Amino acid sequence: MSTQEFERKYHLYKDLLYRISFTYVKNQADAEDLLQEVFLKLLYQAPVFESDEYEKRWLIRVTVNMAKNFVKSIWVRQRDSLEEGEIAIPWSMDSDKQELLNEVLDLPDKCKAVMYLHYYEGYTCKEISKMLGLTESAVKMRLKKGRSLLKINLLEGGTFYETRGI
Amino acid sequence: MKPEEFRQMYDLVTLDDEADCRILSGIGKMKTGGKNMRNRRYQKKYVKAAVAAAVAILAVGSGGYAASLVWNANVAERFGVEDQKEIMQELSDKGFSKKLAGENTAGSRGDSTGDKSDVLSVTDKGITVTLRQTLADENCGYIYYEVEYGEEYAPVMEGTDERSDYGIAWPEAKLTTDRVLNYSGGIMKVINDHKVGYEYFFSPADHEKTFQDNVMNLKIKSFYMETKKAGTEERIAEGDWSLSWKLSNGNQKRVYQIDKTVKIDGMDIHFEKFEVSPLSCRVVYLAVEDKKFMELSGKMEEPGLGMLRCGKKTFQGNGGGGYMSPTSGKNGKTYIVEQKVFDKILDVGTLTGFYFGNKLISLENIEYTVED
Repeated sequence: MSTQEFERKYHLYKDLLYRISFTYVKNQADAEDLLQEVFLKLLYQAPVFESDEYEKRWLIRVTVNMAKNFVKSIWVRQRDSLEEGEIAIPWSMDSDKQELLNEVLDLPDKCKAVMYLHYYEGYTCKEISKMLGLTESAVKMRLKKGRSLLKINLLEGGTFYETRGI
Repeated sequence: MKPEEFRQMYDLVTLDDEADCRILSGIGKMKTGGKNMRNRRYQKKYVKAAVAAAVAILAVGSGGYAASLVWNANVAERFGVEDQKEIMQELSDKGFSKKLAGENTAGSRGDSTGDKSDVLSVTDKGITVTLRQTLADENCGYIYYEVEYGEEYAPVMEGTDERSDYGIAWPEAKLTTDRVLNYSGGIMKVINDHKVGYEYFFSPADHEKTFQDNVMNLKIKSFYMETKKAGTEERIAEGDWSLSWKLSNGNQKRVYQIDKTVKIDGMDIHFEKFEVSPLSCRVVYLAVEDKKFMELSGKMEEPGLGMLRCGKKTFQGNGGGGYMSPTSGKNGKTYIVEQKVFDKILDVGTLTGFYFGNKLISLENIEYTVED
């Protein structure tokens, strides 16, 4: 892969993959490390994809898997700087959004990726199930759980749900 | 909350330009042959369960000049004690740690002042396997060994497109003793193009067994390299690389008799005792293993025994812990033993509690005994 092509892909997918990483690892430094690992994998494994969409899905899956492994891995570093309940949010946000981000970070790991992929990236349950190797009903259950924990208002967001195939 | 707010919130989670530079520059360095590669290949065997363990207290005592000679530098760095000579000395004195080969000593990287008589090494097909250090308490352990690949083998470094068609090298290794072991491990450090450090964490599958005076065996029958193409591996050598040694293990542990019932998610869980050493901890509790309990376990990101509380800080175990349940208990409940092996050395004196799921079980007002 040429440097130019690699950089194009990096800029195309970095925010998407960084958001997923951050949601799991809950801090900037580890999320950046993970992002670097994911792009290294892309660079050195150089898999061939039918389309950009397939490539995007592969990257999402790799990121989710690596983030999950990181969080409960034997390699996870001693978290001696983590004060209970305190997560440093480096972006400038109003208090409502900060609160929401904290709630999202507190979601069970199982719900995080499906919530993000569905509500932000707009993937359907079926697409997510293929991407993450889950059954469609498992994806729906995780969305349901995530919705109830975040108190997402189904009525106000009804149109959104319908168009996304729930 | 509306879904739109969810999207607006995530819109703000972005990488800044400085982070972009750091990441791209890091990738660039690795692409051009950087040497600070992390563990790419990681083998897991019998992740299932494990043991009951326990062990000792780390009472930081007086240091000594010899401390820098009793730990391998890579192991000291990996366990976060490279600058703490007293701790290294203490663990060696109490039998928890045994350095087996002289070179690359903690605190004097690269010298060869260690005791050569303890070197355990074997060479076959141009590949040399050397056991460098072990750490163990009664019921769990760790080994670090290095493999030196002869010049006839392709460089093992990752990200060296120009120099090699291969990625990282890994051995098909088996760790055994006279009892069934659970173990997991992989590459700890790439030392140079032809030398890699590997590690394994292990514990007996039966929580009533201990490691006292056990003879351990490390047997490698073949070595592989990963080709650049995704998912393909190539066997590069077959032979016999076998090492046996008597495991040195520390026995000292701090034992808290908790004997307290705690309600967690509507379930009564009776905690009997908590045992801890610098290397691992173990909790014994009684619970009804019904559907509700299994759901709770599922939510906990196995095993239930999570981080330790050290003052206001948390201490993360490495996840190599285990879960043993089939012992009959009382009142229809089952005795369950869970263990956590640490990937950093714990200063037991700072311990104030442990997390079981999301529940903090405080140890602050609970008396403990020190057992040898």
